[in-house]
Amino acid sequence: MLSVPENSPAGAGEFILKLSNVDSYYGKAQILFDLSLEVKEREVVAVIGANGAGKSTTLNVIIGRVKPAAGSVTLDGESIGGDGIQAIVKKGITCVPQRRRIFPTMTVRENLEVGSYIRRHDKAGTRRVMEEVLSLFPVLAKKANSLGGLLSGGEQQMLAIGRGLMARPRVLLLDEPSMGLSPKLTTEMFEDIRRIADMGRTVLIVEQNAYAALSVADQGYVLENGRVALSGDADDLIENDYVRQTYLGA
Amino acid sequence: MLGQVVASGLAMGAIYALVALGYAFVWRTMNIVNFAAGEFLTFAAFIFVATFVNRLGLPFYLAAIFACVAMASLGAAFSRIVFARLQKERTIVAIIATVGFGLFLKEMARIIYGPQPLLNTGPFGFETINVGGISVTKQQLLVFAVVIVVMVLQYLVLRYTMIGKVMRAVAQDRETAQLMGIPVNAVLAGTFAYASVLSAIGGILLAPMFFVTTELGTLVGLKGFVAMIIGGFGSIPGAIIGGLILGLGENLAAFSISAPYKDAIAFVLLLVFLLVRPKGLIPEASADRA
Repeated sequence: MLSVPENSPAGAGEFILKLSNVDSYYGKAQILFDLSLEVKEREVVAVIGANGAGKSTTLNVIIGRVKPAAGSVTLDGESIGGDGIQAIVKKGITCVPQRRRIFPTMTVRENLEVGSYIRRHDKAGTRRVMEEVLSLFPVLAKKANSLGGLLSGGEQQMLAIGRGLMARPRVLLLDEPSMGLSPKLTTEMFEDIRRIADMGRTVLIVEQNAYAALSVADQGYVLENGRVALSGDADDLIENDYVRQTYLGA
Repeated sequence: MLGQVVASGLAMGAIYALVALGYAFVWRTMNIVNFAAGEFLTFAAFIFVATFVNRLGLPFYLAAIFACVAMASLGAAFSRIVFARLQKERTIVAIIATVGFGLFLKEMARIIYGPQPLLNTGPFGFETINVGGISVTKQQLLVFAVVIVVMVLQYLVLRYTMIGKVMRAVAQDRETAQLMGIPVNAVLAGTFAYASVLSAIGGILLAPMFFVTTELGTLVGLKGFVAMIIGGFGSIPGAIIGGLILGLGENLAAFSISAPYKDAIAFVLLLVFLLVRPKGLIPEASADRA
């Protein structure tokens, strides 16, 4: 069922990440307008939209790089709106950056280890997630001692996601994960993302490739000019005429 | 005789290598050249000799450790207070700030400790030891031993510890490191503190070989910079090799040409490298793994 954001059902408690009526500015330019967005535990939520629609700014607000000028951001009901990046990562949100940003002259294993920085004192937990990541992406296990910069684009994207998972986030944010990947790799990567959610994690994807993102997502949001234009079940959005014409090229 | 020239050249080169490493670390993590490195060396030599050895009467090694801790704190404070504020400025502003801080340190050394040169003979005086027919001072052997230990420790830390990996991550991509929850400013301050310690070790090792004056580190600081350029700007193994080549080269040339030309020779070497191999012996990109 599709709904405008104002009417979206807010089942308290089950949403772990919530943005309510967020306004945000870069300098004097307002980028986000009254933006509300909710992410349920163990769901994949896709935020789609064109270039400049405010997708990356939405992520930057969540991760604490940009402070919201109005509205609130909550994780498990606790406000994180004014926190810095480090505090937010510690509380359980990790962002996998656009263009992967692998540390090129560190090995695959070192990249993953650095990802666990915030939980470094929990050695057993780190070992467990490392095994989990390496079994999720067997190619990373095979190339554990190769330099990150020598991996292919698809492998680097796996490494970037794996590195994000190493922080054991409650919510994993993915910024344009399909960027620079072939259509085949994009499909495979979104299947991996689905598997990650099925393993019990919560994922928020910001993506220009609307079809790929919506096909693995549970919920979707369409951003236009910094506002939520549409939101609802991802399956419904894929079928929606407006979405099909504007974003799916149908 | 040639053996002694080589030994003292390598000992001096090892000190240049320490200073060059400091430049390389700061360059790679902060993208600035710390032109106060030579004055950090001077200041370290002064607090080591005047405060910890002469005034407090501490034994050599204990005084050395205290001097390193003091310089690390000074470096971290400088990084936190000055660089944190200059982050948004162009890098040239931060570089000029290091020049200014260098002058400040040099003048502070003169005001606090006075203009008289200080002499500290170190734990060995001028004792020499015969190594394979070459007479080497014990102080030179200490220089080699300390520099080798520092290099090995540094390698192990960068390669195998979380703090080392975090330093490398911050050097490679500060923004992404921040996304991992890494306290980037603290890591930058730590890196600067480590570079300060490298300079301090240079000053402590030089103190028994020369008179400690406010000029002690000026030329050594510049030559450390030359060593980094010869080795490859920002390259870690390059800094070590560049330092050794420079120390050895200037000593051999001084021996075979004329001693008064020693310093000039170092800079001629720089010009030759800039003309023939401007990227240095081991350019940063291919040398990153050490």
